[in-house]
Amino acid sequence: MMKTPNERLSINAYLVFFLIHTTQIGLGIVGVQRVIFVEARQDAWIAVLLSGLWIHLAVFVIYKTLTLTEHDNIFSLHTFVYGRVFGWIANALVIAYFLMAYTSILLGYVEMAITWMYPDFPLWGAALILIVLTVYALYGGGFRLVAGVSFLTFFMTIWIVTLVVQPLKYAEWIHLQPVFEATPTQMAKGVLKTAYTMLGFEVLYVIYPFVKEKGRVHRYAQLGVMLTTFLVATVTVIAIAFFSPKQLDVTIWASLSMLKIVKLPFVERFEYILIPLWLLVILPNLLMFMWAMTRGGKELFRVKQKYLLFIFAFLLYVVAIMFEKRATINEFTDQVGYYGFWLSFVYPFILYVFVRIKKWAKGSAK
Amino acid sequence: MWFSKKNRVDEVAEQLAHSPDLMCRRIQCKGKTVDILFLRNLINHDQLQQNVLAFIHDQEDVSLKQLARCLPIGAVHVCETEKEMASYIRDGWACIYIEGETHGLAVNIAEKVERSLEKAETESLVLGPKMSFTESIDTNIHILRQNVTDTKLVTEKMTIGMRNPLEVRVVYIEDIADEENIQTVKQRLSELHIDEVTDSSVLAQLLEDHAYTIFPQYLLTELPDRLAYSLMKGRIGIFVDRSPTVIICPTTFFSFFESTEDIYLRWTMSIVLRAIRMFGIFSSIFLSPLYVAVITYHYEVIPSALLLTIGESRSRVPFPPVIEALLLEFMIELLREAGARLPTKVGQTMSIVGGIVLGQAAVDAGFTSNVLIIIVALSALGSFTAPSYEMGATIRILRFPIILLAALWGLVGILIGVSMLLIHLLKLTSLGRPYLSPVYPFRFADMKYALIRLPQKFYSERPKTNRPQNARRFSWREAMKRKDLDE
Repeated sequence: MMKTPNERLSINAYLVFFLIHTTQIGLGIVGVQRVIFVEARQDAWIAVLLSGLWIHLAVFVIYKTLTLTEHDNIFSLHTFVYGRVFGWIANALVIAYFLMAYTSILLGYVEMAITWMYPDFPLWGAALILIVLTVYALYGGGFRLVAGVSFLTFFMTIWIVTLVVQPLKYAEWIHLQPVFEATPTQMAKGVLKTAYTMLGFEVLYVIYPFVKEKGRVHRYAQLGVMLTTFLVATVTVIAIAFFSPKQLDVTIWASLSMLKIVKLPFVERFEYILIPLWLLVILPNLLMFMWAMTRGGKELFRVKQKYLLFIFAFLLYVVAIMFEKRATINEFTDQVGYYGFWLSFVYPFILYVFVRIKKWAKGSAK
Repeated sequence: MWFSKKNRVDEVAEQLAHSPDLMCRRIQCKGKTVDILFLRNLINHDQLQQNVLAFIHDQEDVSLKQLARCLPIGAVHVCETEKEMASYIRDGWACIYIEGETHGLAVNIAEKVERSLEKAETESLVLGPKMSFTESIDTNIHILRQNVTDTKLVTEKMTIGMRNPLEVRVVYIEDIADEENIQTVKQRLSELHIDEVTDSSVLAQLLEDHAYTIFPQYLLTELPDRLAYSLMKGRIGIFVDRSPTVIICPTTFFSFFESTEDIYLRWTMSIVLRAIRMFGIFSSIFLSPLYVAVITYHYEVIPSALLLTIGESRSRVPFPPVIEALLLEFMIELLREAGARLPTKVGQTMSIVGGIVLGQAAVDAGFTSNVLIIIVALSALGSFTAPSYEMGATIRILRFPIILLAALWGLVGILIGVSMLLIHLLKLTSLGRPYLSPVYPFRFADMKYALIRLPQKFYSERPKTNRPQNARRFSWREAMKRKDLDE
């Protein structure tokens, strides 16, 4: 079983808000609008809200699962429920998910930066820079640093939201009409497609043991999720109102394209400022997933986390440079979203039932 | 019993490496031979004559006991060995040996050379006390005691340096400063096995948590009022003999941007001044990198009217922006360094004239653009607004790697620099305490100390960052009591 970290390593409960929120917000929000819009048309924002509701429920279930037994993280829960061998496999799958999530964020950002700003920049160089940054942060920094980075970058980037006021001036609210036109199937697909953007709350499974005031974790996790849902819904509504339906169908990075029109006396073409700034948005994601996978790896392989950090970094780099074309990156991202959907939206409920049964079985065996 | 050995004067002289300054005055008094040993350039001769020689001469009974009891001198010490005797002589004391006695007597008639109290030079203030510390630890403790009359003031004495021992005083307010911090300081000082320490700034480097960083981790100040303020807020001061600067610890990143003047000025003014300073420092690090990044990679960002101006001024420049920027930054640094090394009067003229003439000539010659001159001058000015000299220097150096990153990868490069900086600052500690406090770990109540200023009545609590044992300064409720109309 994983040892409970000591006082010095644990964090205050309010930081869970920032950790959950910043892990959720990443690259998805830059281009989520088209993806949902294709499925649910002008009701896309309802799909966002629905998936937000679902996440609230999922977070609640995750929290309940963690408090059910003395196993307070997903890795030891798996061993508890499935036994040694199958638990190991389940843990490996979770780590594989973190690995994939990390890779997709890395590739997504690099791709965005290359497409918009640096057409000649090699992928291997960009990937190397980001991975080195992650390793530098985590080596000697650990979990407290992850929390610190997500706290600071939150305040360094949250002001970007206020910029949507400018596209709001050109909004055509008629685009949102008629409401509730999407069929249940369309809506379900929309919810599914939102998943990739909203993923990240599942790290609660890993960070939970590191929080000092356990009683307040749930509240802050829910608040973090709420803010994410609100932000994603806002940019979706505004994108639908701002773009014409046909335009939105082909706009990959809708949020960026929308904010292109922001003009200040000394700055134009605001997306050139936003893409570099987005590094600060994805930095907590990278750190979080890297930390989560090394933490899981520590459980799995009984190896020191710092060695795993280098091993995983190397592995990730090799994986990342294998991707060449935009199409493959896109496919990969879809895969991550799909995998993540099952892991974060569906699996918590199943795991909860399993843990319940196992606990009951253990109790009656005695 | 060294006195029974051969010639005692020789013994002491040997201990003192046969210094030509060692004097031995032998007087005959009441039938006894009295030897007085001292280093002639370290003592006060008036005191020697009036309080020692004349006194012994007038005594009825010349014995060690009698002298130790009656000598009209503040500090006396009975010495047993010649080594002890020699070390006192080295400190400027005089040693008296009376024939037939087993022990010697050391009396303090030392006269220390020191400069008089002067106005603070490196940390100059417009408002507030002007006095600065000097090189003598006794004077410095004197000044401190005048500033802080708190009964709980502790000035603990320690000695470091094995060859060239140095007196070090750890000062703090007993019931305010954090126990753990005090222990850490004392432990680090006692674990220091080193031959000698040159200055307090060297000691600060020896006590640091992180050597491989560009950021200073201890505040060095020459202002007694700053030290007094820090002590009363729960920090610890370290005095080092022969050094006019005092180490203050633990320190946070933001304390390097606080000037005591912020406290002396009214809060409205100091909010604005602090904001200007923060802005100045921020632009000092990022303005020239931004110029390089934008001109090299993303000129689309600049509105067309402004782009025209910049393009025009850059039209004659044959270099890429990064060379241009580095050239000019280097020139400014050169001027600053030369200004610091030259005598004051020459230095000032040279920086102004050199700055203007060189800058203008560089533009005329087509080496740099006018816009860049403005930017570099602004960032140089910004770095000088840091109240701490060390932090100002740090900021000036920090600019260069970020310019290079900007030249390599444009704005993304700058943001990579920012991320690195952020991560680095989050990792740093001072005396084991987080460097970025109160921003992270977030302490809302300390914001009024670190980032902004508020009216005095809001300062009823000491900053939590320093972990004071006793946080309360005055009653908040009393200060906030509202009065009725016409009361």
